[in-house]
Amino acid sequence: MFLEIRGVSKKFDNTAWEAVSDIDLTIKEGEFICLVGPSGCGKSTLLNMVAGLEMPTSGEIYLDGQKITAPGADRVMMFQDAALFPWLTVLENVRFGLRIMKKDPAWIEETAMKYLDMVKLSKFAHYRVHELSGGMKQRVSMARALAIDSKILLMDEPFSALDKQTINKLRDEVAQIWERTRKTVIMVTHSVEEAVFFGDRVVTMSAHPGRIRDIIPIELKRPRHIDEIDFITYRKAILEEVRSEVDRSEEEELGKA
Amino acid sequence: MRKKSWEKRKWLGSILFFAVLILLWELLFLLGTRWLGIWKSYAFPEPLGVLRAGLRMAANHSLWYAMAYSGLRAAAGFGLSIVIGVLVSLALGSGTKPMNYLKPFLTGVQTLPSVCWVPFAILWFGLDEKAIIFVVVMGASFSIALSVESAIRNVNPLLVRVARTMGAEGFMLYRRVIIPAGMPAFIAGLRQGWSFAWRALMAGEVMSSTVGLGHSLMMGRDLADINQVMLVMLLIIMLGIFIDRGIISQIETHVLRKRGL
Ligand SMILES: Nc1ncnc2c1ncn2[C@@H]1O[C@H](COP(=O)(O)OP(=O)(O)OP(=O)(O)O)[C@@H](O)[C@H]1O
Ligand SMILES: [Mg+2]
Repeated sequence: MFLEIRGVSKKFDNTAWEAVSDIDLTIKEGEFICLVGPSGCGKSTLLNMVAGLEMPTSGEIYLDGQKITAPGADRVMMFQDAALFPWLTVLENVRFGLRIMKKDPAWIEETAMKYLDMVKLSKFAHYRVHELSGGMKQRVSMARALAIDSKILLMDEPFSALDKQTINKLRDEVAQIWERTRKTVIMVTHSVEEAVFFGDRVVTMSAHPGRIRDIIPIELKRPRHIDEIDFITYRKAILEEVRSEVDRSEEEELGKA
Repeated sequence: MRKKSWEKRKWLGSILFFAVLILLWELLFLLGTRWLGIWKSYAFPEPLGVLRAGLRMAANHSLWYAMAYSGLRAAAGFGLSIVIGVLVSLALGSGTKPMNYLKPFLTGVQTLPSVCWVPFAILWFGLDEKAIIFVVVMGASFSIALSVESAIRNVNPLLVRVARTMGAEGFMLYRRVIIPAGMPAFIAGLRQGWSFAWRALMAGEVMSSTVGLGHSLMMGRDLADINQVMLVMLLIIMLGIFIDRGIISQIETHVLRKRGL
């Protein structure tokens, strides 16, 4: 298996329960995995552990047979905030990871432009970050992540800071890019619709402690359309599951207070 | 275009302001000394007298020497303060136990007016260049250290996380992310450090007896020449502002403009 999460738990010092508890998950190369679940169920924490930004309290994660002990360019991560470097231009942002790898400058230039083109921003190569809209920023962030050609791409709610129209447009573009690159992706999202739209499998989680509740393979052909009857069926089923989880975790939280 | 003409107006405005100020000063001088006779003319500076003192000091070159020596000392002292400040800030940011105590200690030392270091410096080094540079370094480097440390601490952690997942670690992380991200705060810290350094330098020069602006100030006192004293004070203000506005804040504007700030 490509990515193996084996019995991973994470407990933060200031909480009584495990933020992430005993997670087992294996992911094949080229798979698109979506993580959904109530707020606070440990989605970000799990993703951070795959990125190597956070260490599990127990259990291990392996990528391509290698145990994950630190962050690395083979597991690039995108966040809800585009987190572009404001002192660099758009192009320089996209070159960032490639320059860290100390590749040949001409190749870097060419590759960065290629990915800027992929997110339809080559015209804005020399713009400064503050001159971009929110959606454009997130696109640059995507180009910057893709340019590194990591083994796996981690996305933590990459669209949730954007407006509905921008989200729809960006989703279609990301789906197209993914079909072309077939990169292994783990995407955290709070939108079930998004999960069904992208996921080869949708992993639902429950909170306190953060556990995997269910793993649902989405057997829909691509490109997917959110108004197809099968799509809606999937969406409803998963939504119900997630909703019951949200209710349960809210009740728990109220009970605790 | 419009911005240009507005800037021109601002310039004209400030020239006019200072012209009126100098005129009022001259009138005040005439009123107090000639017309009412309540002030002794040697105890009250006058714009024309300041100009005469300036021409005299320029002619016998003492003005240029004083400015050059003070400038060199300022450059050496401020430069050394930056180097020491950055090194101390790295130690402060290392997160080791003793450093947690060093920071409040430095904040405390920083409240000591730099003139208070002069007697210490003279006992330590004697009355020479080293003593003055020492006073400057004690006056400026801790302020720089504290502001660099806070510049690093306040770097957006998200940028650091993003960079780390793209493979940046250690020195690379500093060079490509932490230093550029902290640059605006670093420059703001330098501005403050400069004002400390310049004040400390003057304190040191006034107390010692080597050529420099501070010393020219004391010479003016010894000669009972209030116009020379006034002239040197004005020069000290102008040079201090020139470095701040003319150099450091130009760099700051450049850095901030890039980020649309
Ligand atoms: N650095 C941290 N220190 C302490 N507790 C943390 C930390 N990060 C997360 N937690 C806790 O771990 C739990 C899971 O948090 P996490 O951010 O992974 O949730 P999430 O599923 O991503 O939620 P959301 O959908 O709101 O982003 C929460 O209870 C949170 O309070
Ligand atoms: Mg989260």
